[in-house]
Amino acid sequence: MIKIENISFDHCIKCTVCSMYCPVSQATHLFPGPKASGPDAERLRIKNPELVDSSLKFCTNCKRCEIACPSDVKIAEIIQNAKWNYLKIHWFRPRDFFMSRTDLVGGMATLFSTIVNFIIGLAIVRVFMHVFLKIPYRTVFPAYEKTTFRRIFKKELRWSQSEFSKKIIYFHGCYVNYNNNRLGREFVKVMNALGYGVEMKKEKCCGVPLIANGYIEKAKKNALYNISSLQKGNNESKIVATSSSCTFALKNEYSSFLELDNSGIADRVEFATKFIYNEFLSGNIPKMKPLGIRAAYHSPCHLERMGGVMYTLGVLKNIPGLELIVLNSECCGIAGTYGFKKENYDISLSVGKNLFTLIDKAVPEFVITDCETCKMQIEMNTKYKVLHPVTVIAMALDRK
Amino acid sequence: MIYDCLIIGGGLAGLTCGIKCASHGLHTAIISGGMNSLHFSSGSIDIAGYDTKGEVIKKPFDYLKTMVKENTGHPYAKTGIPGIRGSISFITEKLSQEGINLNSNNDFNHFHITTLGSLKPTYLSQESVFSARVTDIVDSHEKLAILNFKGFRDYYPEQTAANLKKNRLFKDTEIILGNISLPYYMNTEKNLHEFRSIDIARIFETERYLPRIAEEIKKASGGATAVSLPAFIGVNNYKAIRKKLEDMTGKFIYEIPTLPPSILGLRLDHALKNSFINLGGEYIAGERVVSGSVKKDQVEFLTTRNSGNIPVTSKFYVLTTGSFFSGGLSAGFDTISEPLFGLKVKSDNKRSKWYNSTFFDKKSHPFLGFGVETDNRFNPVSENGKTIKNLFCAGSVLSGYNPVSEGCGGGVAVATGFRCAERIIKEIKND
Amino acid sequence: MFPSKGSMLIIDYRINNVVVNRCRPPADGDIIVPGDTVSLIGTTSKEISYDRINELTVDDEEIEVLLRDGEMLIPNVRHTRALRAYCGVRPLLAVTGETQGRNISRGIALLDHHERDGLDGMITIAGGKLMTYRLMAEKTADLACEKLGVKKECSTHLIPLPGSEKKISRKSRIKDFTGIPDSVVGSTLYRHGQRLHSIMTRDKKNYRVICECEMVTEGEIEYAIKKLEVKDLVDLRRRTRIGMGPCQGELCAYRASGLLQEFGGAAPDESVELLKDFLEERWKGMKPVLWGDGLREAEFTYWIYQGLFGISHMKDGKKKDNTKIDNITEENTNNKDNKKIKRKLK
Repeated sequence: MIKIENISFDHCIKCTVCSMYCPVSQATHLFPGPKASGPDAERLRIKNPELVDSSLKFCTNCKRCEIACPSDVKIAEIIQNAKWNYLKIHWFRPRDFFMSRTDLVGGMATLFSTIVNFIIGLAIVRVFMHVFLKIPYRTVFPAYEKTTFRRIFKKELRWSQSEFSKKIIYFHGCYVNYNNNRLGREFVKVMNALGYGVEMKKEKCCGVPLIANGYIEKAKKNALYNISSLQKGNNESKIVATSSSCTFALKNEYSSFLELDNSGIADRVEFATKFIYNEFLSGNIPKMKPLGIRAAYHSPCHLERMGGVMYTLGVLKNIPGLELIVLNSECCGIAGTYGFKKENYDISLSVGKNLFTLIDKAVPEFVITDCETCKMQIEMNTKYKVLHPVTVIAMALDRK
Repeated sequence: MIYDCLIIGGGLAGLTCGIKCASHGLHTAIISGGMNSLHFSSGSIDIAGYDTKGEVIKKPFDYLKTMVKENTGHPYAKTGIPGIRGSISFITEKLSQEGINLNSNNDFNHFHITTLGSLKPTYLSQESVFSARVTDIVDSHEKLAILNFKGFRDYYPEQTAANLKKNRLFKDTEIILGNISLPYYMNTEKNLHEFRSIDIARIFETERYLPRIAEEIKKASGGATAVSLPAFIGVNNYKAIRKKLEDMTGKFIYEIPTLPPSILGLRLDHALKNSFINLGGEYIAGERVVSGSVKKDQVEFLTTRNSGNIPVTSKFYVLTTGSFFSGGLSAGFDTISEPLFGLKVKSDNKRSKWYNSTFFDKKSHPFLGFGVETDNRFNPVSENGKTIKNLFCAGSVLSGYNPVSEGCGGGVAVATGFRCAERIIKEIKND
Repeated sequence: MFPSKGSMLIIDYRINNVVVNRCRPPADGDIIVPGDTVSLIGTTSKEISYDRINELTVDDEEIEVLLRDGEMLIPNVRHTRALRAYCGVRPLLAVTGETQGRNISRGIALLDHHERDGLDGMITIAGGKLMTYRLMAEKTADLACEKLGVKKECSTHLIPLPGSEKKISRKSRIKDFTGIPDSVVGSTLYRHGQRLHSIMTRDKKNYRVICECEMVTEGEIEYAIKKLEVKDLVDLRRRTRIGMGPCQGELCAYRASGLLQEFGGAAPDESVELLKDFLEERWKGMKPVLWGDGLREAEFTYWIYQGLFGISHMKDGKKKDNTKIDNITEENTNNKDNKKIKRKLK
């Protein structure tokens, strides 16, 4: 029998607003839109599970439909659930397997980063990936670091953290660990400037790429690991993350999607800018020097869904000498691993087109955004460098 | 998070209130849980369309002068006639700053043509629905072409034409029907499951298609001097698109609102949101207020879905959560309640008294008039009978009027939203 | 004969895929039946007088009974939107002197009045339901034939209903229609069986979903209007399920009325009248369950058809048009300030 929590489709008034704001159905005729794929088809799938459509795979899970919905229907969740059922039948896909194991692949790749970065840059390898793994030729993969952030933290940063009486727990996520150590360092610097010492617990990939690719059991395993690991020892401190998608998973998706009990951590998990905003609000603003930078801000879909954009804007407005152009809310089209797949590549670019045009029109020096995959997409498709809000604060702290 | 004014609900009332507050430098935020009902509206703003007998009102303000004396519970009686006028000119000005011009027929109502070919009175309309040129075309019975986009399932021009001819005004007007199409677009580029007004609006917004569309319009409209299309000629830069099409075709272009999503309403929505954000307001989409805590006669704080243990607080709160559709009112098996604060609601606790036996009953339906009870300052009353001083209510969450049968939904939203803002500005200045 | 009113409640989606029946002597609300995309809770039994058999309404008490008893069978019932409630009158026949409607069998009663009352040449068939009509016809015809001395075997039970002559598997059919979602093909197949071949052609019409809740395409509507004797929108609903989903015609009613006149089923202005009739017919079932999301849906539908479309402000062509709206502009032309306004507007 259908669980009562899962019948939000029942509230759908068929007002069509979700379809209107769907970036994918604007970009391709292959996707019937969130209304048709979500609440409409759900009734039919309940009647007959065979009526599941392959077109579901085009959903990027950007959640813009849920933001638009006046009836609070969990449209994206309905579509994701149906997608899993569809994927159960087509279970082994080597590309999706590796793409969704960011920690496994990242862990190996950082060991041999020079070679790996060299190899995936080679034309022949990219042709191979294009043909056999169905990863589009033009995709630029984020380079792997020489070492992991955890090792850096252990070697260099850990020692100074005991000076601080107040603590936070940092959930760094795969991207900082394997692809962008610098952001981790900057985060520690900003926390220290706010008077907080940083601790780290053992963690596995938050599960977002696993969820997106339909590996639910594996995602559940990771989630359980993270929930119990984050509750060990220090049980009061806030858990702060620099990745908006990781935050959303820890805070919301563990309970709503994976149906796990995350009540021990949900209230403690905070996205970096929300944490910083509250510190700023209580008067704890470190000394920052004027930056003299003009930057455009892109709000990631998932952060918007979490209601987190206002905090990021609040933080950025407190940075002296930062001329901020807030871009109209548009989806960048990458949606995690979505844009890295050949069949989605054109859709992904077409979705992001509006955003790229907006950025070009704004003529900034940098683009600021909270999400790592948005960063990759914007850097692949515009000439601008993309910064994390935490990086911008760190820059202002560094200025002499 | 401490605001001067926090508005729950981002519809016409909430946006009007927010724009007014922000324009006076107040730290204002709007929390909007889902898109507003402008997305389904005609895109015109009605003040008062029909009197109690269902007869069309010619001069709404004249009518209201007597109405507010007789019906003191009506929101208009609380804003006062000068208040309505003030709010209407305020919102007209703000919209024109964002590129949307609203025309009125001096102090008279004018009509807009509906999809089914009936005529509805309204007060303010966009240029493509009412202007002096429209009056000319109708009065001099110029030849009219009613066109559709081929394959568009949300509009049927034959119905419009057949019923329009039954109106005396159009009896002698020659009407021709036709279709426009872009075969390339139809075949390959588009998803026919999602072929709504917004999708066609996006075709019109693609500049390179315009000459071809103009050709099609010319071909389909014969010798007509005026062409009516379902409202889909672009959302954001519709003015430029319409001008270009008019120049290219040499014909006047009229728009008829059809099934949702309403492009005419969407233009107002976008313009109002832009105006609010440009004035420094914070528009928080995708967040939902879960409950409000009331202590004595004050709202203490709000809890939102994502705020967790950090309560959201403000000096003043405005409730513009709409009626049943938007969740401002919630209907149980036989009770009607206001879900966020548990405010006192004017309704009937017998379900069979909520509706009339026919759907299009002359007397409309009682449930459309249900809503929150307020005093003359728009402060609501909590369940224990105490007036909440720092909470104001505006728009269709209010009781005492029927937006559809009186033809006054837009006017009440604007007037009450504006009045709440004025009160808040005054109180903050006095502090 | 006992005219007995029975009411049923329709639930938004299939809360069960098999019939759930309560094991007790027949009583109100003891069965939940899945039917296409919805589930039905039934029924009540209330004896009514002959003069009321045409003005039927579902009472609030009946709804409460159905919900309460339905909830005992499947708890989701109370938390799900009730789409409609409707009722009908059973022509119950008390053959053996029962006095309570509930006790009378719902079976078929074939009465030979020659044996029973000495009336030669008269047969009565009574009881039964739509589902058993063919069997009832067979029994009646058999008896009549016997009396008339016709020996021929009845063949009703051997003739498949239209569309079910050949069983076609959903899977193989779905593959034939690439580009149309499986949910659309599957729904059409469920409704029309083998007729799917004539409906689902590779035509653009089949890519245009008219009823988005029940996935009815323009092609299916055309087929129904042209081939299945559809005369109005209520007929069309019975053939295709348009307007029977959660939105109860909010989007599709208008579209269907437009298509009805496009495919020659009605004149344009007539189709608008039919649209009104259709929405009134939907309202009959919606109003008894007007709470929660059902009320939201009704409000939205009312906004669209009355607020936006002005459906009840339609002019009747035959009557003299003297509503004042037309005078607005006429008066305006006489207005002295008119030129000034025009200039301002330009």
